[in-house]
Amino acid sequence: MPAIFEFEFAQRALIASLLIGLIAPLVGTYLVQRRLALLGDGAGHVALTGVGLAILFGWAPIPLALLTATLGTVLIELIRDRSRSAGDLALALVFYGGLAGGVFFASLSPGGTSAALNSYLFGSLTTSSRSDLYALLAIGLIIFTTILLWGQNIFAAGIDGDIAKVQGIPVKISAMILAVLSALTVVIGMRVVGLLLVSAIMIIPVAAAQQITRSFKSTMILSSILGLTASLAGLLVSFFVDIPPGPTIVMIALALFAFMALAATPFKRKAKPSAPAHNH
Amino acid sequence: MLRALLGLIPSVHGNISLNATKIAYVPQRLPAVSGIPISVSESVATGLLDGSLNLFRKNRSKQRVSQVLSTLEISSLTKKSLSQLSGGQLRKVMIAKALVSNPDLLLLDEPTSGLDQASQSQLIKTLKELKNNKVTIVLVTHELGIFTDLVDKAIVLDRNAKNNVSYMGKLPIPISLDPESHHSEELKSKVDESVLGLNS
Repeated sequence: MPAIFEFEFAQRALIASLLIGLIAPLVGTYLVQRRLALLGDGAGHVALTGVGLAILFGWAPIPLALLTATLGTVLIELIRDRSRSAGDLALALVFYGGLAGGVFFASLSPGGTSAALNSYLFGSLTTSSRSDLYALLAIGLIIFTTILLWGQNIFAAGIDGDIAKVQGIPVKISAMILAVLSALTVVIGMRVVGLLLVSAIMIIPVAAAQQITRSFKSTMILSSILGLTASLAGLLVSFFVDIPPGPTIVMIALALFAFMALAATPFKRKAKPSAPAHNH
Repeated sequence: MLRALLGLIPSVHGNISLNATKIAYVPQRLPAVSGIPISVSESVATGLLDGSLNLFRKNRSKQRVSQVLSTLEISSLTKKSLSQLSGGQLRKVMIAKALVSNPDLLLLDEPTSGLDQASQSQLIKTLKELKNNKVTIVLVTHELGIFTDLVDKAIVLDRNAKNNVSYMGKLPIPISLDPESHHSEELKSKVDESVLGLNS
């Protein structure tokens, strides 16, 4: 273990990054299944408004980021439920509004600068306090328990909403739960990975894992392993090179994706189903 | 029609009341298979869900899934990803997903679409067994002939008929009402005419 981990701030950053590396791909698998890969991005942007408000009023950022991200994702999901094209538009509005709101409110703070936002945009090694870490662990536990208890219903609703409804699965509630889980995940990742890049750690490991997996469960497990690997490696690189951890974690995740895509190419050729002439 | 029966779309007239505790539905459209890989067993196992919290049901569900896959003779597909299946295989997986929960009301929309003859016979055999076990089956089909032995009551919908129903009763449909028979009668008379014309 590198000597840097003798420092408490480094230990906190390590725990926070392992947590996001493990949890984000779990939630991301459901998002990719439902073709909602950008929902996490929307949550990240709108959480920035919460951070801006926290800077303005001198409050703790986690509760406000949690509140705004949850409201934002639930709103997107409500609009998306009525019309898919309106949902796309709502997502775009949340992107612009969230980012602008964050900078606007932070600039109104007594210091009058939005520079304080930087560490939340791309992550930082030093910003997690001990109480932050407890909050992040509690949020992680909530996400994990929800997936354990309700994940299969979200999965079934993602395969076919009509069949799920007939079975008695509350499809709309499941979609809302997934939206809230995305918001919670974003808040866990905002310290280490940053709000602009946190959605990448939800999606890229899943995209990498599905190159070689054949089931939903194995995709979840492998994407979490890849997420953990990228988080840990990115954090280590960030300790020794003066770059925020967010971009290094995401670059390593992308490298893992490229490796998996290349490694999977020969298997994909083999596994391709034969022409549908033989239809049984 | 099935979507209206299930309350997925509002009905225009009248009321619908279903006297069933476990309902299963197989839509006509095949599931989208791109995106995240989903294995056949995972897909079929979701048929057991009923909207409650899922814990401690794993072993029971595994047994039931392999049982229904074996009944439909698709055990060899258990570990395959849905994206690796042909249209007919996907249809069978959807039927397996509907059967896995032991429904007392089963609604099928064009269940034989994409199935070869052997698979069709096998499906009808399974449906007969379900019927003998007091499962109510409602199916929509364009292939009335192959369901003759299964169906107690057929309703033929026709936009131009009174109340949009041109026939209600047992199968086979009387020749005079069978739209396909009309064509054959018409054809027969045309042939007769030309033969008679030739003769005269």
